[in-house]
Amino acid sequence: MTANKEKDDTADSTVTEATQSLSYDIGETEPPSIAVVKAVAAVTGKDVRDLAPLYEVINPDHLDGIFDDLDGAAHSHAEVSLQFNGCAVTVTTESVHVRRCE
Amino acid sequence: MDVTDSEVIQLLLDDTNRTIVAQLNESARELTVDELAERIVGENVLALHATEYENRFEETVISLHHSRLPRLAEAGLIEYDAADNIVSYGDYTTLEPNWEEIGAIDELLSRFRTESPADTESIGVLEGRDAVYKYGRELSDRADDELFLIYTSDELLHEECLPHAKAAIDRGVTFAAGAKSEGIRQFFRESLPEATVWDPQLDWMNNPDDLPKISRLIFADRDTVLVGLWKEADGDNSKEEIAMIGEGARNPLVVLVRELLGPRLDHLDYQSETFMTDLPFDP
Repeated sequence: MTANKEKDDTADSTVTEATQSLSYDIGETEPPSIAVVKAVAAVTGKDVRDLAPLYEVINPDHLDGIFDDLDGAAHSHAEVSLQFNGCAVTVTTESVHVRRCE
Repeated sequence: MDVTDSEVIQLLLDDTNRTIVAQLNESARELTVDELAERIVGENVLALHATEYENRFEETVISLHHSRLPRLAEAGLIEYDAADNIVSYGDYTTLEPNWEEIGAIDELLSRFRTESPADTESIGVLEGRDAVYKYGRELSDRADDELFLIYTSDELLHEECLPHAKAAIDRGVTFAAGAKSEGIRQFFRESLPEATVWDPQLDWMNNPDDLPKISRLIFADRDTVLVGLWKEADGDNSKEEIAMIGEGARNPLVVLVRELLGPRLDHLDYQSETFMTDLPFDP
């Protein structure tokens, strides 16, 4: 049986083993698309090169563009949800939340 | 190609995308994503702390595998095997130009026909053999990397063209000439020992009578082209030569010639044994 290892939302982003879910804080200069890939790689325990390309789900430039446009705008909030490599991913301006789906 | 030309051009406006395509071209073999990332990161910095390098390297790998490579592959500029992370330059051995579409090509070209070759979008037309020779020599003089010529008959060969060809070769220009007659090929081999010479089959050029026949073709640096055509003069049986000129990598005529011949021209770099059989001129 697999234990449901829930990490709390302020988890450190440097996870080295596969877990069920993770919240990853997006770095200041980090493009959200890169953050998504890193977060999903961490949750699935896979190397970034072995994941199916994000481009097949959404053009990473477009994803980054959504959050770029918000930069500095007051009360700005955006949330993008997508399915990527068997995970439910939610991206906000601050973080990427990943939950593994079976 | 489903993707439009302007999208391809947009992609190539990006420095990194151009680096990717250029690296594939230079290395002349498949590259792994990691190899490509190394070259990209290496190109942009003189020295980096190990951790800084690792971070940048990893981000580059992610950007390549998850974004740039799939996008370039979709546009037909490269081929990407995402499962094995291998990037290659497109499988041109399966390129089969459909010569029945020559009519459609003619129509496309006729839309751009104008008097002078000044505008890169337009196709210039030269009338008369002297004008064609003159322009051909100019092309030779201006070439920096490569000159690719096809001559379909002896009478087109003119001694005065030789010095220009020799000068080009001395400048380091790769020179390749195809000629139907053994006489011309001999001539080229003797006068320009450094040239690559071959016998194009040209059957596709000897198509049904009502299509204009190609007299010569000169392709310089893959961005300027002269296509000579025989034009039957009205009334008598004499033949006049005219030529279509395209200048600039985005010029429709240049793009056309490059698409049809380009992949085969790549073989020139490696003096491939199969070069002669891979030309689109084989019956």
